[in-house]
Amino acid sequence: MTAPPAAPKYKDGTYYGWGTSRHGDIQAAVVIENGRIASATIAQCLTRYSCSVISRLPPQVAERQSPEVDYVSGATQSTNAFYYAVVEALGKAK
Amino acid sequence: MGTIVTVDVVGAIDDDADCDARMTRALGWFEVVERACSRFDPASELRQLGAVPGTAVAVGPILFEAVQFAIAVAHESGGAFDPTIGAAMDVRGFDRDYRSGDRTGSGVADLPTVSYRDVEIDCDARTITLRAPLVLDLGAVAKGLAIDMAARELAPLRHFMIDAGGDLYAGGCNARGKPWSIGIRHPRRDGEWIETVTASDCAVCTSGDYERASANGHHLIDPVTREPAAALASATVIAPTAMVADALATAAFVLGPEEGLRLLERQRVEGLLLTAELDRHATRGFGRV
Repeated sequence: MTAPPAAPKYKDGTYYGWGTSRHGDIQAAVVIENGRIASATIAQCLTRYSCSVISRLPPQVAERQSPEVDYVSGATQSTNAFYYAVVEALGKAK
Repeated sequence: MGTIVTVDVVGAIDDDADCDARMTRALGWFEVVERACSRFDPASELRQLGAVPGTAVAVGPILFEAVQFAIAVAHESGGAFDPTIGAAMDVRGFDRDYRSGDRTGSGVADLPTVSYRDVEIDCDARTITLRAPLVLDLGAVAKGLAIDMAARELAPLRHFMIDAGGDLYAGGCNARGKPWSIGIRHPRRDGEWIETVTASDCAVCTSGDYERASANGHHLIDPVTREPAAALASATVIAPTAMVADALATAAFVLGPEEGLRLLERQRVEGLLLTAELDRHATRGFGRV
């Protein structure tokens, strides 16, 4: 999850969005407080691999592309379903 | 930065509150660096600098460090890496604020005569002067700098991984007690990797033509031709810091397989350069444990 943006302002509330990746679908719940993202969590995880959420501040998603490597170098997160789910939720918060 | 940042800390955590605080500060650096270095945010320190060409501006340490390093890499790469490429990127459609989707181009004309030599840095006064109207793009350097600042926060935790959109800093070892195992993304097959390397206490950064695209091609512009560099599909660099790895991967990408490899060898870092046909050009020590 990116660090909370300084702008633009969002309307307070809780918003949901869906994101799809080749591994399956993720629903994100985004909470807006005082116009800023207070948290972004996984509401429903329908992916083939488990969504392991590290519950620290702010919540993060560690998505493994495969069990054989720990991480992949080279912009893999651009197709991250959670990212798109959060973007969709934020679209509703404007 | 339009990037997902993931921080992964492994091992027994003695002090939860301290760990939480460090992870929060680590992530916070991405916003700090963005406020200083963003080409898209009209209120950023970088954009304010760009508004007064010809004036010596006293800038904060983050922007100063990023610009100073970017210009140094420009010198080392003979101008193949050139942070004054911002106006050319605006013109090619890389002018959108990733959050709002608004076009936030600076409106500065892209003059092919402008180069990194038009950026004057005064190390004593800590000022930067843009000798001509130009737009600085610090994308290659700023993300690496943010990763390095974040890694500094996490260093006492020993074993961790920072993943900022595929640019990585690996601290210590993974959960199995081994150096982190890192796949290099396949430039043409999404979701697959083409090689693996191991990394511990170093950064692994990859520049690729698949990352960002506009209608006019990908975002890694050759400062000489003003067109997207075409010789390579991806360039991966392993270096002690992410700022170095990030900038050198970008420079090598523009230089192409032969010149790019020579640059990396001169800088004593390991790297892997892949052409669109997947021809492999690697430094001597690449992949050796």
